Amino acid sequence: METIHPTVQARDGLSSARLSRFRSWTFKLIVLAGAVLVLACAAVGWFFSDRLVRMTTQGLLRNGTLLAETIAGSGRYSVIARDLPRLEQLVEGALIDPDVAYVLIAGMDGEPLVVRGKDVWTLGTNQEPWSVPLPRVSAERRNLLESSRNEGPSVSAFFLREGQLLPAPKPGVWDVLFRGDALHYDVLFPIRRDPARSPPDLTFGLAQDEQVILGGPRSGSADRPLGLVEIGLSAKNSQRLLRGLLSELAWLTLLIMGGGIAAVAFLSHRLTQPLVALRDAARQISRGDYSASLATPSADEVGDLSESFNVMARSLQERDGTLRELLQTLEERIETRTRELRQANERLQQVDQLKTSLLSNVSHELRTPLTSMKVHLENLLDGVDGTLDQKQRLSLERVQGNLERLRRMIDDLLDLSRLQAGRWTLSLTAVHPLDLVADAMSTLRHFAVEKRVDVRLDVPLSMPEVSVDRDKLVRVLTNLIHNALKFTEPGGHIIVRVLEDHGECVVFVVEDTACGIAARDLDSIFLPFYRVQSSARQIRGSGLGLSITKQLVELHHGQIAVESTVGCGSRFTVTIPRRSDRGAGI
Amino acid sequence: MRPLRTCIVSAWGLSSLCLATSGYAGDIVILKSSEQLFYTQAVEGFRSSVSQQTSLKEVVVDSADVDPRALGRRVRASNPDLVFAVGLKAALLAKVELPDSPVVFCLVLNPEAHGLPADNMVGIATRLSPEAQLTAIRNLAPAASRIGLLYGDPRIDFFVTDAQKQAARMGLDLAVAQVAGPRDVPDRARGLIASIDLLWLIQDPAVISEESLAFLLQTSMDAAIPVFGFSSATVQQGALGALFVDPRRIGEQAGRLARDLLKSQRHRSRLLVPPDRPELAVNLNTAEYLGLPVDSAVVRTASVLFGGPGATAQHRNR
Repeated sequence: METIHPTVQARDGLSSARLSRFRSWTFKLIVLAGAVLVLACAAVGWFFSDRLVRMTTQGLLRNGTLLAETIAGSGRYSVIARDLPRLEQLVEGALIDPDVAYVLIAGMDGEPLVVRGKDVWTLGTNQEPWSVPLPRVSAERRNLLESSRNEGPSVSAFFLREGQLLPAPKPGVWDVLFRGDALHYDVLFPIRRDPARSPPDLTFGLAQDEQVILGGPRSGSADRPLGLVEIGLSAKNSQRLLRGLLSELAWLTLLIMGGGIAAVAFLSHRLTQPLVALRDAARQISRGDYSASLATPSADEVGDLSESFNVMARSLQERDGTLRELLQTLEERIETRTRELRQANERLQQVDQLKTSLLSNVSHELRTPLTSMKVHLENLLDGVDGTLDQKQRLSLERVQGNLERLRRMIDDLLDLSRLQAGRWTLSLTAVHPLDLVADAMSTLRHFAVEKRVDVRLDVPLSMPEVSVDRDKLVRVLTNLIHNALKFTEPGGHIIVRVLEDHGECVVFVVEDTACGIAARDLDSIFLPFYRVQSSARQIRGSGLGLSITKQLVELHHGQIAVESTVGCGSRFTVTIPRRSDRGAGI
Repeated sequence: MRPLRTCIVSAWGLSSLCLATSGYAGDIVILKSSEQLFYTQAVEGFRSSVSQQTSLKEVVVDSADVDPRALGRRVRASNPDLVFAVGLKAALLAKVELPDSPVVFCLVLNPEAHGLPADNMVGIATRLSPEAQLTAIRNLAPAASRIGLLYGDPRIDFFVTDAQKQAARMGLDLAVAQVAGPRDVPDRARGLIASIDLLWLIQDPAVISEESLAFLLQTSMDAAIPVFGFSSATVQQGALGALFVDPRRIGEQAGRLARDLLKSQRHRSRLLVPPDRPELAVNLNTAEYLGLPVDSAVVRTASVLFGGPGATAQHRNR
């Protein structure tokens, strides 16, 4: 058995199947996995970048806020007392921080007490104009101080571009990482009175109580800030750090994507190889070549599939062999049986011919002495050989009747044998159907009268003539009407009707009110010598009349049919083409 | 014999009862200005020093749902044997609404400025005398001869005058600098600190605030000038030492005073007694930093000592 290696089969399969490379599962899997990887890496990268930016920004702002809070705490009284040397000392200390761009300490009125900056924010002295304007003016600071009661620091962001400050209401990842302008945060921290000092000092408490009673405010509970510390934080270092991290993250993402796509390509190749081999093997089997077998490279689902396919192929091969054997045997058996049937048929035909010939010969041989006997009997009855007394005459007449019956039977046998032997020919003449019915009734009228059966004729005079063998068709009608008369009880009636069927055929219908024919006998009544079981003992007959009738109708290329209901009567329908020599396509 | 025996037994029983109670049982209403901790401590000290048979009823004046005048009328209607007023608000309420009841008050920083004590009142001063404080300064820093003093409240002019006199008597040079307000303190303080051996801080609202105190302590520390403060809190923050009063002891002293008043039933008016046991706090860390040797006798007399690792390491000598 040939074993198809998946690699070879995959290569051959791809070329032979003419599959577009872009419609293959490998391509689809790689594209899908690549898209998923790209989306996932992009989402994760964006998520981490966003979080990183937020964390860095929060850290920067937290440091700035802590620094501002420290300055506010240390310089609280210096602000109250306008102790500028002390404030300058604090500001210079704050500027050591690399992220701090400028520091401003303002009094209660928002006016700067001390301002210092570095880099582009190098302001030189406490006096304006500055090289770069600060983001807030004194009035704005004063408003913030007035509106800020117990609130925390106020933070705003802006970009610095060529000495111009551009507001950045909500800087996002894109602004921080990819925008070229330097991002700055302006942190404004109010300087408040120290809200709590522990342990509670008796002197301060008594002094405060005294001040309250005298109508003054509590020194330690005033809400209005004493001043503010404004710190400018440059995000330059953070941006540099984040860009470096982003670059590393991008490289890492590309590495993961490349590795992922390669892994997917490898896996999809491993997955589709057996499928392609399976497809080719299936095609091979569909062509009738059961030698195809798949290798089972792995013990996974694909391996199970290959193994199942091999089992299926072997099973198909076995069944195909069995079917072939059966087919071969069947043909031989059919041939033998056909041959036997043919031989039997030939024997039957020979027997039938012998029977027909025998019947013909026997009938012919019987007829000759019968004719002689009839002549002599008639002579006796005519008194040629002497006068007969009444008793002799009656006996002879009874013999004459039996002879007549025997003669009719022999005539019928002879007619049937001739018909079956195809030795009868038609002598067609144009006859009006009424004449045919009248001829038939002329010989049967006395019988009908004798039996007291009413026979009605329904033959339109406008009926066209029909081209038939007059004698044979009269015999057909005579047989049918005679049969009806035989089986119809006295007082019954018979209807003979002639109809025209679309101008092509003439239909003769004989209906009676006799006892009817059982359904099981309807198919057999036209067979020779067949007699209905119930009537065989009561009514005499040879059982040849309907058989001869059928043969005569078929000789006219017509058809005969019978419908009957037991206890109600029967209807015989004879359809004869108007021109019997054409057959009239019945 | 029988009547004599009865008299002897009755006398013995009465004397035993008096010894057992050891105080006068009466109705005292405590008027507390507010729920501040130092007021509560003073009340606790008062309660511990009066007789247990004394009926004490405590009322907080600075309560949102109480009208002070209505409160005063209710107290007057209850006709107490004595009223103990803690804090300025309570003392003023007692002065206005309870002129007929004997009143003992305490924890009022500047009673003279508010007309205290009135006729029916006796009080315990909160501010320690210049003599006591200068004595403590001398004991703590014997080498300091030039003492600097900042003040701005005219209500304590008398105190400054008295201090100058006392310093002169003790052979000390007291340099006084008057400030106009808190903003004036840095300049005045810098000028003063440059020419003194020790800075003496007194309870003057015009000079001392939470912010200025930190400034003064830090500036003095930078100039290596010791500070003599007015509370243990100032010593904890860096002052070399301070003579201060403990609210609980003030309350105890007030309790004893009230007991004497109720016992003697004497009407004593317009009496302001000094705190009988001022306490000394010393910061040994500051002394060590400034290189000032503290006499061991002074250390023994100090009630509160700050020393050891950490600025808040504290030890009470009692």
